[in-house]
Amino acid sequence: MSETWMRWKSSRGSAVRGQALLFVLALVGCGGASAYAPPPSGVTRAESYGGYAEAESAPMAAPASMSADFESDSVAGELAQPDGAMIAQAAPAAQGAAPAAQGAATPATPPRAAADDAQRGPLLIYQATLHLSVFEVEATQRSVIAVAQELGGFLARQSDQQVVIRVPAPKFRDALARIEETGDVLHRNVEALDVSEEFRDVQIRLRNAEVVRDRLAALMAQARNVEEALAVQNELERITGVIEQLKGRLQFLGDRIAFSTITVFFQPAATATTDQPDVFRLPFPWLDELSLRSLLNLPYQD
Amino acid sequence: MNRPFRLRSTAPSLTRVALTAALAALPLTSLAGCGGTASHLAAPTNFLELDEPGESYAQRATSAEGVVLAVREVENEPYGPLAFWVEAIKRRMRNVRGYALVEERDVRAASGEAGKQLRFGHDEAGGPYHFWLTVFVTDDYVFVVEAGGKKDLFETAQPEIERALAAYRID
Repeated sequence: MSETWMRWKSSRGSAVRGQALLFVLALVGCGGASAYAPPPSGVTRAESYGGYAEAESAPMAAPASMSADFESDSVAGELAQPDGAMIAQAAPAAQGAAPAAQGAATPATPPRAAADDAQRGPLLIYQATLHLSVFEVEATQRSVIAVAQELGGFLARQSDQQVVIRVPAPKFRDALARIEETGDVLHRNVEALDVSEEFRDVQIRLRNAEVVRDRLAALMAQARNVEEALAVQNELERITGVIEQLKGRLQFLGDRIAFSTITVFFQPAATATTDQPDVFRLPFPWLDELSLRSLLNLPYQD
Repeated sequence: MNRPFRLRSTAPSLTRVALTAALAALPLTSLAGCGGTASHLAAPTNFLELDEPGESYAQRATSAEGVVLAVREVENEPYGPLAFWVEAIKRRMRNVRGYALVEERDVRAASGEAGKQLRFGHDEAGGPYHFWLTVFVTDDYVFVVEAGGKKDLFETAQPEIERALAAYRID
């Protein structure tokens, strides 16, 4: 950038200088996209996380049992430091409900170090949705929250029909198994979202943006008049905003990778969300009549 | 081959016609006369059997606290074996209504038929309830004995309910 600046300084006219500045600013405006490089060729992708690397969704047979078998914890395991601390920060600021247990998982390593670790394999965000039966919901919710806290996670959201917990990724399987013991699991959906590409892309864009910011700062120091200083200042502000956004995105991804999300609904999948088709209905009306309400609704006696 | 109910005469008398009609009507009247029951559930001591159990039920009895026992008799037409109806009920209760299947037991009626007892739980009006469905299947009928009530009251009455279920007979 300094060569460009010197050339710009020695250029022959203001029009040329203006064009050169525009070119530099346009390049800066790209957020360094031209510097994008694919992930290193040495990166080896881990094997599927016991079948969870692909979306898995199925109604549960009764009694509920966890059919999926995790073959390896290696992927999630890479996210943990030797002392058990997670690579990324624990809860986003919006999650004020995070209990003290969350502190145990506070990151010991800055996002940059996490990013370097990330080069080793796929970065997966694990999330699961369980539909539990509507029986002793309050007690079951307490059990689910207790599971999260015992495993170093925390409560993220709670309502009458739903509880959302976050658990450290290496504890994801354990958490699922323990939650499934708390009630009759009607349906389970487990997803592993590979965000490796996005994570690395954001990293590269961030590094490039930081380089551009440094160059703009240097340009700022050499500005000869207010007009030039303002032009550079404006661009500096914009690139600073971009950097903050990219850092925020990295932080968000790091959090989602480090802490898996488990959502527990206390209602059948068929009624929980509108995008799921109703379950198959046999053509026997008396099956529909079976309910406590029908049984307990006694007719008046003449 | 003996066909005991076939009339031998090709010119039936009035008496024969009347007798045939009466014989044909006998099973229907006997079912209708006792509320359409092809089975019998002896209500526990502290339960009151309702004269009008409701159109879906062949029998219904209630305790003063609101624990209710009832028998549902449904024609097994088209025929389905016990496993079919048990699975159909299980799926309906869990996947559509959100009932928890707490326990599943093999049972036998006092008259000898093998059946299945599905013990469900469900929150109603903010509190937990028990709801047991005991299913028996014959060639002609599906029998569902239902027992339900608020959890604590049900558990108090549970020994009586279990005795009544053990004594349940299919005619």
